[in-house]
Amino acid sequence: MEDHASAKAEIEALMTRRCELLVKGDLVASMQMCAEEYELVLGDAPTLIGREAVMEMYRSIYAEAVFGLSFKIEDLRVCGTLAVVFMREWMTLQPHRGTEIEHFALRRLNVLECRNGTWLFVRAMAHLQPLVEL
Amino acid sequence: MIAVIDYKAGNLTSVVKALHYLGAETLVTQDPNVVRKASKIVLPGVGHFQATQLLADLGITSAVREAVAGGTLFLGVCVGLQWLFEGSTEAPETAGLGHFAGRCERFPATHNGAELKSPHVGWNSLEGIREDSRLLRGVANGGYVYYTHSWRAPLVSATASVTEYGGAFTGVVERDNVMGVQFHPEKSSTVGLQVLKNFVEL
Repeated sequence: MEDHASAKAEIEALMTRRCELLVKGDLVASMQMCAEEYELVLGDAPTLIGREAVMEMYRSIYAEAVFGLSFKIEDLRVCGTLAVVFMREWMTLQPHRGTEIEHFALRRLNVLECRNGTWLFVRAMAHLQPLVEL
Repeated sequence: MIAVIDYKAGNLTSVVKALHYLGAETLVTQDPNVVRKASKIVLPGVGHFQATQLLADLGITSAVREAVAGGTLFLGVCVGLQWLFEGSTEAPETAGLGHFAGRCERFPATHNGAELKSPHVGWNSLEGIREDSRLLRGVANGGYVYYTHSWRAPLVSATASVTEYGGAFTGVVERDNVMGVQFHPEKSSTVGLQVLKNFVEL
């Protein structure tokens, strides 16, 4: 049976890096971890297609936001050049500095592909969950 | 009781809310024994065919197989429909349930000489609705539903309705107690609600 330990470790590190970059507000660097055709499904909102569309959404809504983000990987599967990561996330969000902090809990599915030796996010689905359930 | 299979991706809330709105009793579960005992099963879309491997690992695949063989009603949504087929080129090493023959394939890059954008996202119509479809009872040809997907199921004898995008693909599949919709009924306004209502009332 193929051992995917090194790929899993690499992907876990990517998840941590993505989290750190988002907390830092470094949107450009976080999106560089995504494929050009990255797809993002956020709850019932229309699907965002392409890195640029996702960046535009973040810029337009969260340009001045302050994020806190933590996560837990519930399941990580690697199959060849594909990886699927089931995660839970806890997020705090201040739309602007000085405003009230909002708390969110999410479930997120990340799909990654290894291209030319580099794992890239190709698709993500994130859904809000009741805080009490987490 | 409708067992709504939770395979960790979390896009359950809208489906469950819609089922509750229709008066259905639901139980969100990862437990194969709950699936076996349910009167109906709903498998929501998870976003990627590879993620359906979890169903096999949790023992849900065999539970679903037993349940549908016993006549339990099953509804797969989006990738949940695709999973009813033998597999998908999206994750070639992951087997589907194989209830319907054929494999799901990505939309072609071009159609009739023109570029075809993928994923297929947005509202599109249901056409060629099979008259004997119980799931689509009361839904007229041309009814609009909401899609978001890059892979599509082939046309098979169990296809109950098609949608045109880069050629016709299976929008709804139905044979006896096993049904699937490629669109998202929970996002598809009145037509989507009618489909879920039909399923709840079967």
